Amino acid sequence: MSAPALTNRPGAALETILSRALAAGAILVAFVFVSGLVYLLARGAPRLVAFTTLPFPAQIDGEDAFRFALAASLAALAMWGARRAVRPLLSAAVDRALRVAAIPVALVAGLALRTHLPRFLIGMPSETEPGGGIGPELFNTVYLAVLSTAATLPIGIGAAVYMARFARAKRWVAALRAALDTLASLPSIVYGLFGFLVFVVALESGYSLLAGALVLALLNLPLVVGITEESLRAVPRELEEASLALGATQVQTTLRVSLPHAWPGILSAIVLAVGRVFAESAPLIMTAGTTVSRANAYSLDPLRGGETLAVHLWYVNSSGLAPDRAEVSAGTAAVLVALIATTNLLAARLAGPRKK
Amino acid sequence: MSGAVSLPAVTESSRDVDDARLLAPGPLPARTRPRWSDMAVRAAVLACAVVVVAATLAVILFVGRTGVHGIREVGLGGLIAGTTWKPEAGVFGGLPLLFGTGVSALGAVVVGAAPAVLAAIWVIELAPRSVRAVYQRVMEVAAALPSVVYGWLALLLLVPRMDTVARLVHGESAHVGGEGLASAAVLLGIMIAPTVLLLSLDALARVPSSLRDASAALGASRFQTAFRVSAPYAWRRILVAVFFGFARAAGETMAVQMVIGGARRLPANLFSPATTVSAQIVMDMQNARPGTPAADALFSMALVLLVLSGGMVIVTRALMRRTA
Amino acid sequence: MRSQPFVLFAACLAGLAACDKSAPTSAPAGSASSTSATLGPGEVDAKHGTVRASGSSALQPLVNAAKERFETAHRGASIEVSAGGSKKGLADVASGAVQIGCSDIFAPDDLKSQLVDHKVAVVGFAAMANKGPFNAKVTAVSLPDLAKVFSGEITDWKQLGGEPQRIVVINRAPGSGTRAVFGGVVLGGDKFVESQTEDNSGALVAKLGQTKGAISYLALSFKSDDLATLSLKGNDGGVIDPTVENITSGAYPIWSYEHLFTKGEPTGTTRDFVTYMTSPEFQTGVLPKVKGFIPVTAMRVARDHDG
Repeated sequence: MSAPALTNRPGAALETILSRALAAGAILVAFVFVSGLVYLLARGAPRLVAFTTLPFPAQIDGEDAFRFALAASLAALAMWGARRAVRPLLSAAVDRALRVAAIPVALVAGLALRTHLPRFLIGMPSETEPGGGIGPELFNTVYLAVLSTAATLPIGIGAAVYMARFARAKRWVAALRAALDTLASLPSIVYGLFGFLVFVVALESGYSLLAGALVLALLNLPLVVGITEESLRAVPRELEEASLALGATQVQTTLRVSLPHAWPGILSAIVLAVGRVFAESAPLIMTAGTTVSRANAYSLDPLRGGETLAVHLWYVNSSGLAPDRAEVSAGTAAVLVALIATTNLLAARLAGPRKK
Repeated sequence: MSGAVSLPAVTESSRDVDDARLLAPGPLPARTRPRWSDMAVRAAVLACAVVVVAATLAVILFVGRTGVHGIREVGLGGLIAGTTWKPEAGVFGGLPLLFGTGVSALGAVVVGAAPAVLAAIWVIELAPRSVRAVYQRVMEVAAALPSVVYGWLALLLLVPRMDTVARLVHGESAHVGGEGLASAAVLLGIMIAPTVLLLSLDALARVPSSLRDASAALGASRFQTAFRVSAPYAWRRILVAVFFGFARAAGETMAVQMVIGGARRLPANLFSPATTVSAQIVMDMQNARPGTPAADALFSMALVLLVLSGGMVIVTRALMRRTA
Repeated sequence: MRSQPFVLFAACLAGLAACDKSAPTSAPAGSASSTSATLGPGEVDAKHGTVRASGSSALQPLVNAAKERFETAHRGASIEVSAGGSKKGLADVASGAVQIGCSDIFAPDDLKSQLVDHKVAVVGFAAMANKGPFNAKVTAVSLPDLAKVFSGEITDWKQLGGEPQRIVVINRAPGSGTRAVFGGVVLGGDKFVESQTEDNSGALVAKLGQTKGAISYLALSFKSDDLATLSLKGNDGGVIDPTVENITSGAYPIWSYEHLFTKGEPTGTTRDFVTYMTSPEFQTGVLPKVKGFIPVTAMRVARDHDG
C-alpha cells in the first residue's frame, strides 16, 4: 500500500513530524521493556552461574532426584541450543543423529552433573543469612504448574468441546460464556480470597499446593476454553463432513478428527496456562503459603504448603531480613524469566508452524 | 487472534448451536441405538461445562456472602466514604483504598494504554511490515512476565527516580517520596501496555484492506488513512482493549503493593504514599483472623472490586456486540 | 509427532528420578523413632518432626540462633521460621497454621484463653532517625515530645532543638509488634500519624539512611552507626540511653517481652524446642551473644498484659 501521496498538501509537514514522533514513541516503549529485561538478567546472572560441588547424597529427602532432573534439563537445553546454533553447518543425517542422541546424552549428563550445579538453584532459602537459594521454590513452581494444568485441561477442553460441538440449546452456551467472562474479569486477589475461604477456613486443610493448583486452574479456565474453542472452530468443515460421510458419529468425529487438528492451538493454550501459573503470586499467598520446609521441600505430597518463585520474590522484598535481598531477588526474577522463556520455546518447537 | 493474548471468550455467539445442528445426523440413515461410549463422552463434556458454571457461581457466592456479611457488620456508607482505614481500631473507611485504586488505574491508562494504542497504530499502519513481527514478539514476552518482577524492578529502578522528581516538584517542604500514586500509575502503565498493545494490534489487523486501499485510492497519505479510516473502524475493539487494561490495572495486587507506600489515608498529592483495595487486602489478610469484622471488611472491599469489574465486563460485551 | 522426543525425555526423567533411591542421612519426617544424637545437658530426646513458627521479625534472629543449635543437636527436627509480624504470628498459631507464634505483644483478649505464653527474651525498642546536620544536636527527646513527633503534632526537627528540616515519619505495618509496643508505651495506643509504611526492617534501615529527616522505630538489634538512635530525656532533664542497664532497671520504658505462643500446652518437638529456648543453658549461654536481646531473668521490673 504505497500510494504516492501528494506531498505538497497543507499539513504534510506536520504529518511527517507526527509520524516520526509516533515512531520514536513506539520504539521507546519497546526499549523500556527490553532494557528492563536486560537489567534483570544482568543482575541475576551471577547467582545463576556460581557452580559449586554439592555433597552426595543430599541431606534433604528428594533433593537428589530434583538435582538429577535439574541437571538433565539444563544439559538437554544446552544441547538443544548448541544444535540450533550449528544446524546450518551440519548435514541432515548428522542433525538427525544428534537429535536421537540428545535424550540419552542428557540423562547421562544429568547423572554426572547432579553434584555440580549452581548453589543458588539447589539451596534452601534463608530468612536472615546471606547465600540463600531457591531450590524448593523452583520445584514447587514446576510441580504446581503440572498440578494446575492437569486440573485445567480436562475441564477446559471438555467445556470448549461442549460449547463448540455438542451444545443443544443456546442458553446453556450463553450461560457458559457468561461464566467464563466473569471468571476472566475477576481480579486475581478474589481467587486468593476464594481459595482461602474454601481450603483454609472451611475445609481447615491449611495451606496446600493442591489448593493453589485448583485456584489457579479456575483462573486459567477462560484462557484454555477460549483458545480451544477457537481452535475447534478453525477445523475445516470438509474434514468433519468427510468423517461423518464415512459413517462416524459426531462424537467420534470430534474426538478423532477435530481435536487432533486443533492440537497446536490446545498446546499453545497449555503453554499460556503454565506461563500464568509461573507468574501468579497473589492467589498463592493465601492458598499455598509463603514458607518451605526442610522436611517436605521436594515432597510430592500435594497437601503440603509451599511457596513458589513468584511468591518468594515478593516475600524476600517485603519481609526478608537477609542482607543479600537484592541479589536473591535478581536471581529469582532471572530464573522466572528463564522458565517462562523455556516453556514458550518448547511450545513453539512442539507445535510447529501454526496458522493464525 | 494474537497468540499470547486474546480477549476472554467474547466472540460471536450466534453460530454455536448452528454448528451443532449442522454436524448432527441429518437425513443420513442414523444409528437407531446410540453407542454407549458416545453417550459417555457427551455426558462427560456436559459435566465439564457444568463444573465451569458451578465453580464460577461458587466463587461469587463464597466471596459475596462473606462480603455482604462484612457490609452488614460495618456499614456500606463507611466502607465507601469513610476516610480512615484502621481495622484494629474498628474503623473501616474504604475511601482511601477506592481512591488509590481508581487514580492509579486511571493513571495507568494515561501512562500506558494511550501510548500503547498509538504505538500499535504506528506498527500496523506506518511502520515497515517487518517491524510488526519483532514488535509482537517483544510484547508477547513482556506480557508474560510476572507482576512481581515488574514490581521489584520498579522498586529498584523507578522509585528512587520518582523520589527525585517528587523533590523537584514539591521541594523538601512537603512529605513526599518515591513511593506513592505516581510510581504506582507509571508501574501499572508499563504493566498493561503490552496487553493493550497486542489487543490493539489485533484490532487494527482486522481492518479490511479494501478500506485502506480505497482510502489510498482517494489520495490519502498513510498517516491520514491510519487516523481517519483504520482507527475509527477499529475504535470499539481498541476501546475494549483499553478497558481491559484499566480492569487489569485496578485489580493488580502484588506489584502495586511494593511501590505504593501503604499509608491508609487519602494522599495529599501524587507523590504521597497511598494504598489500593487489592494491596490493602493482601497486607491485612496476613494477620486477619477469619470471622472477625476485620477479615469480613476485606471481603467487602473485594466485593466492591468485583462489582466494578463486573460492570466493566458488561460494558465491554455491549461494545463488542456492535463490532464488525 | 513432533512432541514424541519431549514426552520420551520427560518420562525417562521422571522414571530415573523416582528410581534414584540414594538414602538421605536424615530419616523421613513423620516417623516416631527418636534418635540419640549428641544431647546437651538438660535437653530432651526429640521426636522427629517439623515445627513451624511465624510472626515477629524482631524475634527472628533469636529464634534462628536457637534453631541452628537445636537442629544440630536433634537430627530430624526441623524448625521453619517465617516472618509476617506479631499479629500474623498470633493469627497463625490460633488457626493452627503454625505451632509457634512469635510475638512482641501479649495475646489479645479473645485469644488469651487458647494460647499459652512462653516468654523467651526481652527486647528494647528505640526511635531511630536519619543522621544529618539537622539533628546532630538532638540526641535525646522527652517522651511527650516523642509522642508528638509520631502523632504528627511536631513536624520539624527545629522544634526539637535541631535545624529546620521536615520530619518524615515512616511507620511499620499495622500488624507489627514493634508498632504496637512503641505505640503503647509512647503514644498510649496506636495513634501514629498515617504515613508510608515499611515493614521490612532491612529496607527500613536503608530507607532511614536515604531519606532526609526520616524517623521510625525499630528493635535495638537493628541499631547501627548509620542511624541516629534517640535516647529519652527524663523529667529531670537527665538522659536515659537505651542500654541493657536502663532497660533491666526499668528506667528506659520502651521494651517488651518476646513471646512464643502455642495453642494449648506444646507437645513433641514443639515442646522440646520451647523448653530449649527457655532453658538456662540457652538464656545464659546463647542469648547474650545475639545482639539486642536480654534474658527475661535479668529484668528487675516486670510487666503484664496491660503494661
